[in-house]
Amino acid sequence: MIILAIDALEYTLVEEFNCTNLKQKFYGKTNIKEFSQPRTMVLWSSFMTGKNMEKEILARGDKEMWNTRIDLKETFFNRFRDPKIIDLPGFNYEKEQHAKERVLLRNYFDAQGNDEKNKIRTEYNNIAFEHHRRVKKEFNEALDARHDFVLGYFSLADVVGHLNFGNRMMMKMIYKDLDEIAGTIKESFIVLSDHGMEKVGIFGDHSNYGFWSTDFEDIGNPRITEFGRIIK
Amino acid sequence: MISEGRKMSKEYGEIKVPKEIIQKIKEHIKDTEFKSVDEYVIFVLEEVISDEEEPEEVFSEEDEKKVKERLKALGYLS
Amino acid sequence: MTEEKLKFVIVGHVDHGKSTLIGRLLYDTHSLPEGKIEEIKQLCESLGKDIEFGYIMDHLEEERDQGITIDTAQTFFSTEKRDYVIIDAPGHVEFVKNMISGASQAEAAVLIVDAQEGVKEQTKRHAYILGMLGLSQVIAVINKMDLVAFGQERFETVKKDLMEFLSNINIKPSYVIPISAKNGDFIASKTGTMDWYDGPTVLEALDTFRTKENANKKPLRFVVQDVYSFDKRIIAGRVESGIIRKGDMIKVLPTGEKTRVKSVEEYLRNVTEAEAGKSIGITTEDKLFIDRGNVIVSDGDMPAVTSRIKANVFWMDRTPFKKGESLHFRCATQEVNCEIEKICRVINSSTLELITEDATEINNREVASIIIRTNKPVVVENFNKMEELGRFVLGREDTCAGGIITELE
Repeated sequence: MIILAIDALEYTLVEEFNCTNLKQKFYGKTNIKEFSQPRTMVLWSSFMTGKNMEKEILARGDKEMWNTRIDLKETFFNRFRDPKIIDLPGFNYEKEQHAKERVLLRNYFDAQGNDEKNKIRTEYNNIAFEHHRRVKKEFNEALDARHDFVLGYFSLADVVGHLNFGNRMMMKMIYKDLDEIAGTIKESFIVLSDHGMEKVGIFGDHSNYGFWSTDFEDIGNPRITEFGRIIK
Repeated sequence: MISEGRKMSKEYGEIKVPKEIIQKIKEHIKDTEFKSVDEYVIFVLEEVISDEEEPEEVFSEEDEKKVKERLKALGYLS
Repeated sequence: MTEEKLKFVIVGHVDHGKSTLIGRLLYDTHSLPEGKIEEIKQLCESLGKDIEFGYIMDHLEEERDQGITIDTAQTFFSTEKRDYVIIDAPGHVEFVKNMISGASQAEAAVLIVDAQEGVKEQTKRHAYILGMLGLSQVIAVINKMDLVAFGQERFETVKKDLMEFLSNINIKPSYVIPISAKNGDFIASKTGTMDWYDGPTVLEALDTFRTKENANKKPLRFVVQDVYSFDKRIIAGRVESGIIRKGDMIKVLPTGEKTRVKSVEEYLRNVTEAEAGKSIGITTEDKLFIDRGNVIVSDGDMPAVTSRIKANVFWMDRTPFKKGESLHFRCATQEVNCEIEKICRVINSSTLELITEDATEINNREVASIIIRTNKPVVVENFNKMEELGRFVLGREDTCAGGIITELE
């Protein structure tokens, strides 16, 4: 089983940009209404454990929440003989990379003047894209290596989206790239996002539903906690 | 189509433009919707200036404030 | 490099690859704005890819969807030989209106057909509009050859169907070219995908077309606006084409009287000649019966003097035209009354569907092929020969229709 976990993949854009590989045969929205806010760490943690982890994660506080590392035994990945997970928030999130992103994000909002902001945003985008290239490579290698379970987590759309969602050209190219990645997967796979994104000027905010797709079943409007059960 | 939505005050100043350019403009607008050299020149200049005033990344301070609040709530800006 | 720009239209269904063709023409001639290409290039690099034409197309389509290019009715590119202008318009109606009322100055056309779909209803409708313009420089391109494995057989089949249809509406393409706009085959470059085709690329074909002759080189047409009698009798008017000189032998139409140009008078200037575009006065050696609306020509290439005109019009008045109604006909400075003898065909300007043949009325925004009978002979030309006397308007109190003359008795 292969999971393409794409942070902030927005249902409406997948349709607008006609990402046929991401849409597969069946696609729809996920139901995340049970959570007070669409928080990345909360959502993915709930996904992998099959339980609503909001209270537990939030109790750690904004800073520590990002360092959450849930034990393999608590997740449904444990079912598999040789699972490979790449960069998943709450599991083996690349701490340094994403901490760097958050620092630049804060710097952006603290900066005065457009020139400085643009400079920071360019740097922010660059490190996000660089990370994306690395994850792509790692994901490809994982696909070749014959694991019985691979989960590739792609954060580009979320990271870049926060500061550039209004730049349609950029978002379109990112979605097309993600679609291309989906196109390279030969076996059966599921696409899943924790939440989507909506436009606020040139910025992006999390939307209140995620995206899913499969090539084997119409799963309707599932909660993110149900996926452990669906992947049998 | 030409100046829709651009309401400007009716006061005009004068600028100097080489006669050759005026002649070229006259030729250029012959079969277009522009009725005078003045109209054409004003249109072109408005376009150029507005391009500079509104770089692609148009954003309002309001948007930025709103997003900052949201990102805080989502735990990104601790 | 030739100085004159060649203006042409691309006609065909959007799904048949019209925008991809335009994108390709711009891309292959390096005519796209540097900044945008750079931006796309950088995004490609960021994603670890090579820049591809597909991304450029995405961007151009994006701009169109967002209405950024909505005011652009013209797209520019250049080859080594000359500059080109693609006359296009996002709205069908605007496009058709401009073409039919002679406002746009296309001198050539490219008709696109999808190789897979072949000649369909859509193609025919678009070809109709071309036919109404009587353009003699036409390139037919059979696009999406990549989808039919670049097969010669398929190309020949579609070509045959197309030529058959086009001959019925009097269009004779100078070239029929197999292309793939998506891959760039035979637009600017001869790729190796269709060895069986030994004709030109689209750009090469365009380079062979002629631009409209410089107005000065055309035969003299001096349109009379007024006649003044001061100490001398001055005939005031505009030189629509050609050059008028002191001492020239001239003929006044429609009367046919002949005389010689005694002087050429321009306000506050001493001149002996006036070229196309100038508004001047002349005096003649003989005193003639001359009036506003007359056209002065030189012997030789004559315009038509007729009361029966076949034309295409774009009706733009809310009140429809009903056969039997009398209208004003205005061409250059000539104003006469006329009747529409026959409404041969009426077409919807946005869907390009044929509405009726042999109709009794023309509604707002419809294009009609008609036969006009004026109450007095007028001096006119076929629009493709000379626009200045080939373009006219019809009206009641206000102008109701603009049109171009396609055939003369």
